[in-house]
Amino acid sequence: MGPTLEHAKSAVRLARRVAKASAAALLCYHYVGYPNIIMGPAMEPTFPGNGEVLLVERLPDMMHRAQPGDIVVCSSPIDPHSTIISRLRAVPGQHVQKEQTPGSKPSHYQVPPGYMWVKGDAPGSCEYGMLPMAMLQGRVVAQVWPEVKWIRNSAASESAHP
Amino acid sequence: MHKFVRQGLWLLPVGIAFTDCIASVLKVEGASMRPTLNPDSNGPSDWVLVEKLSVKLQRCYTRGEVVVLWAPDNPHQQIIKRLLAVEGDTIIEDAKTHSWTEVPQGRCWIEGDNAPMSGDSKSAFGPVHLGLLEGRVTHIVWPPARMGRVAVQEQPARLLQTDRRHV
Repeated sequence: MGPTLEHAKSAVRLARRVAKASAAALLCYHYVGYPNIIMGPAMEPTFPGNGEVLLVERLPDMMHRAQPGDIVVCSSPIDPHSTIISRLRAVPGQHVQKEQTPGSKPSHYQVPPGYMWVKGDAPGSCEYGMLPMAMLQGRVVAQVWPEVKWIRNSAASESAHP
Repeated sequence: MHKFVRQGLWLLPVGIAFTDCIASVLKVEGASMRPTLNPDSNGPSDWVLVEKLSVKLQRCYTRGEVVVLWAPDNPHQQIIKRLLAVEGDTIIEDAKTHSWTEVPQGRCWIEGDNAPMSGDSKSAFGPVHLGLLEGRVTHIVWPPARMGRVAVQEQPARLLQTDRRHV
C-alpha cells in the first residue's frame, strides 16, 4: 500500500516534468527556433545539400523582418507537410526579371500583394517562384554542422530590382 | 502563493500554443458564407470553433468541409470558405460554360457558399496552396440560437474526376 502510493506519486511527478519539457520544446520550435537539415542541390553553392544542419529562427513578425537576400524556410508548394529552403528574392512591389529566352528582350513582372518570390542559389533552380507570403515559416541564421558559420543576408541578387 | 503564480505563468504560453496548434474560436466577418454562416446582416456575427490539429498533422482533407485559411493576397487575413476539391481532382468552374480546372499537386479549390459576395478560387485566386489551410470549422459556438455542427456539404456534381487517395 505504502510503496505503491510512492510509485504513483513519482510517476505523476515524472509525467508532469515530461509534459512541461515537451511543451517547452514545442513552444521553442514554434516561436523561437530549431535545427533543420538541408538535402538536395537547390541551394548550391551556398549549401552542398548533403545534410548540413542549419539553425532556423521563428521569432514573431517574420513577414516584416524577412528581407530579400535572406535564406528562408517555407511550406512546400507541392506538399503542405514538408518545407523548402530557398532564398527570398523579392517582396510585394518589387520586380522580378523573367528567365530570358534567347533572342527575346529581358522582361520584368511585379510581385503582387501578399506574395513573395523565392529562388534557390543554384543556377537554373526555378521550381518554386511566386508563393503566398503566409507560407513563410522561418529564416536561416546559421549553419552549425559540419562547420559553424553565420548566415548573413546577401545583397539583393541580380534577379530582384527595387 | 509563489508556487501558484509559477504554475499560472505556464498558462500563457501553453494557451497560445493550444490556440495556434489545436483549436481556437474565431469571429466570422462578412457575408461570403451565407446562409451557412452570418446569415443575417443585421444580427450578431457568428463565432465558430476552428479545429486545427487534424489539418496541421494529417494529409486527410474532407471535400465539402468548411475551412479557415490565410488569404493568398493578404498574409495577415484569415478567410473562411468551403473546400470543394483537392490536389488531383478536376473541378467544373462554371456550370454554364463547362470550363474545368485540374487542381495541381499541393493545392485545393475553395469557394464561399455565397458566390456573388465571395473572393475565392472561382472569382479570384484559382487553386490555393494546401499550406495556407489553418483549420476546419466544426461548430458554431455563438449566438446560442445558432449553436451546432457546421455540416460537411460535398458537391459531387462539380467534380469531373476525384483523386481516390484523398477521402
